[in-house]
Amino acid sequence: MKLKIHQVPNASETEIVINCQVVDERLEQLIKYITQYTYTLRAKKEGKFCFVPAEKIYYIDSVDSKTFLYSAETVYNSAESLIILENKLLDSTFVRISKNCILNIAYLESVHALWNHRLEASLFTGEKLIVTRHYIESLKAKIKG
Amino acid sequence: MNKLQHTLVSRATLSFTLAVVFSALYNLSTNHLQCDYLFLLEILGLIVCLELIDYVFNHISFNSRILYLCTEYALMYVCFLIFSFIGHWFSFTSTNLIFFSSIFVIFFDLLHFYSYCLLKTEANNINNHLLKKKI
Repeated sequence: MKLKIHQVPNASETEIVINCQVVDERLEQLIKYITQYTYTLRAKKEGKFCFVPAEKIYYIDSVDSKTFLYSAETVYNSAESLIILENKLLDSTFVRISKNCILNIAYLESVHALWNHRLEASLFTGEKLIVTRHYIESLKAKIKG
Repeated sequence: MNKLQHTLVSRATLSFTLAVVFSALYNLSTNHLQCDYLFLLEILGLIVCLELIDYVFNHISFNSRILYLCTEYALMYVCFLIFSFIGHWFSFTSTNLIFFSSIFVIFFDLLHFYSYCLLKTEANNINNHLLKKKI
């Protein structure tokens, strides 16, 4: 695969063009990552609002009706509910894995079965999250693309 | 094996259950009031009850897996005892209690093991897909 980057100082917007014979599974995955690059989420960090690129978020969870976005360095606070964020990120690599958690599958390393009908998702970061039975099918569908 | 598990076994189990329930209902409706037919419907009632408990427990967040398993186990066992008492399945002597409780424990563990195996297969499928994406 050839990769060409043209830096245009006066370009108003970054443009990505893919020339290919056929869109295969790997290319589809790459397109998903690029698409995800365009998502930004409005969140609060130390009391100040900021925009966080979605690809930097490992997972989103909700505790006591408060929504938190987890990245490598920071935990952001979001004013939006999990359902709103789930709908916003529908076409990205994010998927709901339990009643209170949305996972970015770009950071998912593996899953393993637990005795209580749940899956344990291990992230590349070493964190472990629980996938409840109800959401296993949607996780599978998202990974399959 | 996977196909066998998902289609043949579940279809055969469903057909068998429907046949048994239908024949029990038919015989009871035609005044063949043998206790065997009632027993079959009581067993069906117990299974539905246990499945409902399992469904409800799946929607509750427990602090630990052990707490989840123990609570579900205890509640299902109580349910089993209630059905046994109402249906007069056995007399409540200590020998009978030990014997039938052991059978319940074996059934419960086998079913949990079967569910775990199915989930493990599901997890392997997901891991294979993840691996494919990485290559």
